[in-house]
Amino acid sequence: MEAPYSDHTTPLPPAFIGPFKILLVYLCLHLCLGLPAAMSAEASFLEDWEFTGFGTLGYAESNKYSDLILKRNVIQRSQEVEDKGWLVDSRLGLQLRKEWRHNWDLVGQAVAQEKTRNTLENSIEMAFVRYHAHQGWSFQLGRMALDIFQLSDHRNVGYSYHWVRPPTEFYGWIPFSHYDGIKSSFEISDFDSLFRLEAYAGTTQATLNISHSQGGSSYNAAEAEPTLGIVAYWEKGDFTLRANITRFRITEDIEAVEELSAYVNSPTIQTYWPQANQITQDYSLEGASFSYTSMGFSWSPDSWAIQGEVSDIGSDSFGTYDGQRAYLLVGHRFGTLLPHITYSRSWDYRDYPYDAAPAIPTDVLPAGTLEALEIILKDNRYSGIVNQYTISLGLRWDFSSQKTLKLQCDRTTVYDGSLGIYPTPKSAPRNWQEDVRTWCSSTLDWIF
Amino acid sequence: MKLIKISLLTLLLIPMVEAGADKNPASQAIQVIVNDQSQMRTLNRQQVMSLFLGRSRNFPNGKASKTFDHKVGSPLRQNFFEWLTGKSISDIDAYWARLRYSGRTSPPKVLINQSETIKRVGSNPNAIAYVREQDPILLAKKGIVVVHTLRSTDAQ
Repeated sequence: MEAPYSDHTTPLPPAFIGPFKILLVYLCLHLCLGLPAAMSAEASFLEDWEFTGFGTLGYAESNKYSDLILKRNVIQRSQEVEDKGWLVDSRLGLQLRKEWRHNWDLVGQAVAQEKTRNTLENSIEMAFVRYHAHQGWSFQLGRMALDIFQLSDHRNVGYSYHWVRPPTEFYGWIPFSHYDGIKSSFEISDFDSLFRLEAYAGTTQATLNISHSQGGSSYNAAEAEPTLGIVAYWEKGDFTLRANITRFRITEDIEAVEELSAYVNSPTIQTYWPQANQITQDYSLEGASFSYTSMGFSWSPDSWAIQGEVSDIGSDSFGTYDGQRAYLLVGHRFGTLLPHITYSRSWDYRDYPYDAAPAIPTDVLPAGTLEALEIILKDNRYSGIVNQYTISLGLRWDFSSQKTLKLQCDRTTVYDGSLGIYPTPKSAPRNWQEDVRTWCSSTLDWIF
Repeated sequence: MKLIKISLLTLLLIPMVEAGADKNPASQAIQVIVNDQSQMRTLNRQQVMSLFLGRSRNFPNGKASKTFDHKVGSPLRQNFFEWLTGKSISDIDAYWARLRYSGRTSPPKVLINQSETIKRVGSNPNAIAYVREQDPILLAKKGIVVVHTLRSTDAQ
């Protein structure tokens, strides 16, 4: 997400409010009535808590090129990961879980990693209580991992996948990792296959650093309220299939656009280039609807590992991403070694559909004023376009129990006018021409 | 320079490799056991897999189940999961990492050794676990039923 904003969000449509409130009340009743009874009746509530965790120690060639910085995702601070290659993929997670009476469990998880808004509250990825009702139903309340991709609810756990990092084209651009809200699941299993349907609703926030500069107006605060989604999941033997539809209503606070808006609202600009104000408004993300649809599979026949995913992003706003993403991984295990190859692609259809800035008398504004403004507007547009593909070669080595060492090299082709999620220190106008970059990275991943 | 750093990280970790890829002689069969009160008398491979991979929380007869595991790194655990699923134990651990750290569910509770396993299954009507081959008659005297037997030849 890039682009603009205001301080208030559009009220939820009535269609969203009804089911959301009913489900919330239902769950609260369960929790208020059932949880205390269960806790008091269960003498061993304070016993048998699971303390577990995961970690990744990594190094990436983030500053290999002077004009493009390798980042894992848009919430990382550009200059920090440029200066410290070990920050790109390193992280440490701790998890606490308690299950009691077969029907209840509590889960809490905190993850320390590089990100723009690095607070304790923002580091808590999960803190929820779950009630397993009868006949496959379960209900969760609290903070939960945002399950919009195949890997999105465990993308911090390097040990659980084969890459050094999930494909950037697919996973790098979404800033949200968790949400505060409710989730209901229905699961049915006949011991041969499993089908699960989940519906969730909540709110989420994140702070992004898309540009190369840090601090102040370089950070964008994004809020998705509500976040509504449905996930269908089917598993049979070595094959899993997953489909997801999520709808966000996003408001994003970008100081730079607010400053720009104040500037174009001046009477002189309004008089000679009224469209400038419209263009600036179009960059604003104030209650913009944003839909994300994805379908993925994984298949592991014998020693093979095959995994793929496609997604479509649509929005009624000029400022958000628009296009498709896809990737395919093929790997084969040879004992403790698992070499793999991945192709990932991002298509982004955004352009700059406005007329050129008009010529105005130089006695009104200095020559080139509007042209300079137009360059800024265009540059803002193009610098966030993610139109690129990457071919990755990787090796996973499970050298010890619950520890793995990974090496991966990514060869990325960034198309004309696109900078993807890779920030550039170059100043505007950044007229990027198609070019290729290669980065190598290595991680040690473990669980404990 | 960066490639050198990456290579150094790789080389530094090589000595951490555990010696001996196969520490388990493991020709002995593995029995899947349940408490007699579960009323289960047999389970097929799919059912055992479903229970031990967290895909089902109940026995086929609808009664609640509680799975128990052995220590990470133990040859018995490695044999059990590899023979049962045909997958490497690293793939199984990665699978459980996905489930555990996405908050979906947790792996089976780990018990210290085989005798504790037998004791726990004998006293918990919901329990299901696995042990190296035992005399079924002796197990029956402790209220335990063998519902499935795995052998090394079962690995796909």
